[in-house]
Amino acid sequence: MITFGFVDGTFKNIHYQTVEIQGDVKPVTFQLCNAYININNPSDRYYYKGTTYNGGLYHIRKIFDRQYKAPKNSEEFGIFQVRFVVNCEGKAGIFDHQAFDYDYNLKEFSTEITDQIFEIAKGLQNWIPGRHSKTDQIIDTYKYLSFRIKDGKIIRIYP
Amino acid sequence: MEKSYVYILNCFLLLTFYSCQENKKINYESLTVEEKVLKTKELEYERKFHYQASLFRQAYTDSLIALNPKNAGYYQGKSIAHSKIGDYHISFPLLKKAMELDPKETLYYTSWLMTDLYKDYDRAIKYLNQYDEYTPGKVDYAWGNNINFLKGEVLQALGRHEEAIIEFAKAIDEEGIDYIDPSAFPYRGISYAALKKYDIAIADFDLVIKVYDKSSLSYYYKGITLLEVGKKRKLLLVLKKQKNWYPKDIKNPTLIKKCIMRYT
Repeated sequence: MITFGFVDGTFKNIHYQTVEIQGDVKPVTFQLCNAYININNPSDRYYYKGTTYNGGLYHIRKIFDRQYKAPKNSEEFGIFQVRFVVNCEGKAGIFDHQAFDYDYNLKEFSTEITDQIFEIAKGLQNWIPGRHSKTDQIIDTYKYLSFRIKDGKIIRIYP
Repeated sequence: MEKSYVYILNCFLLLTFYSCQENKKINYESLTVEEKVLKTKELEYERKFHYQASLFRQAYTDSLIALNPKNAGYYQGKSIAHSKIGDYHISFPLLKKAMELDPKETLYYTSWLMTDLYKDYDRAIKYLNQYDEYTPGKVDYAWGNNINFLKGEVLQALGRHEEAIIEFAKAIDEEGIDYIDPSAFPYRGISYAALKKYDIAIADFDLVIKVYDKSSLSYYYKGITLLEVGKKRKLLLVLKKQKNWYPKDIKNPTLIKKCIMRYT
């Protein structure tokens, strides 16, 4: 295959050798169904697309109730937000997080809290993917979960 | 190939031209009052063509704020997109500024927002009370919702069940049985159940089931209440009805499964 591009400081033809893939190659990590989802474009993560967790928020709360261990004598408070993408297969990936105090200024929690919440959230892999509002096609969607924290304990989880 | 070069060159020149414009500061202060009004109208018209989350719309709103720094609506409008995508550190200062400028108009939105999206119940009840106090004796609505209904939701979430019952009852009374959001009844029932007034709670759940027999919320909490008072036979009947739509319309599949395993 030949293509034209900018290589080594000049425009020229680029020659590619195509090699056939041997065997059945399956992706082993999280993949987007639409490679063009754009984290910097608010419209991609804006409108409600109906992405929900299997078993609802109730199930998520149960999981956190079981797995999260509040640090002893902690006086930390605020809102920890886990942001991620749910792909069209209902798998979550591209995790990110941000945290606020109760006045919505950005802040940092201790790793004792953030690592736990982040890891448990990464384990939530049974999502019902969102759908395109017009075509009804299953799509990749952004999602975020907020955790309200008081004295190191999770007092509220909400989408 | 030459055509491609010409095309790339043209794009490059256009981009260079527009990037030079980026740093050009628009000075609105030198405009007369009439000019400002005209410019505002022009920008508002152009803004309409861009949807709420678009960066263009944000840019237009920034210009409108620069032109009209005392207009609370523009600050509130700019905050909406950021609230929806969870960037509260950007949206909240804008909302605070809007509330400073025009609390009465802004609280119509922010009191609902704190209840429904931010789930910041301490702030929500403060805002709802403040908004309600502007027009004593009149039925108020926050973002189209009955304010007493919202107060009931917030007070319930804060565990203040006695006050929540009063607010739900007020909302039912104000809207009338035909127009009230039917969820007011199961919500009030939940608060009654929390206060261990189980019979009144069940009456509220039944009221909704009577008019809408697929209210999973009412079945679920009726089931919980029956479990609480030990009426297992009745609970089984509730579960049987709810099982018909499992799993689509069910509130709590795990609990229902447990109950079925335990009592059948």
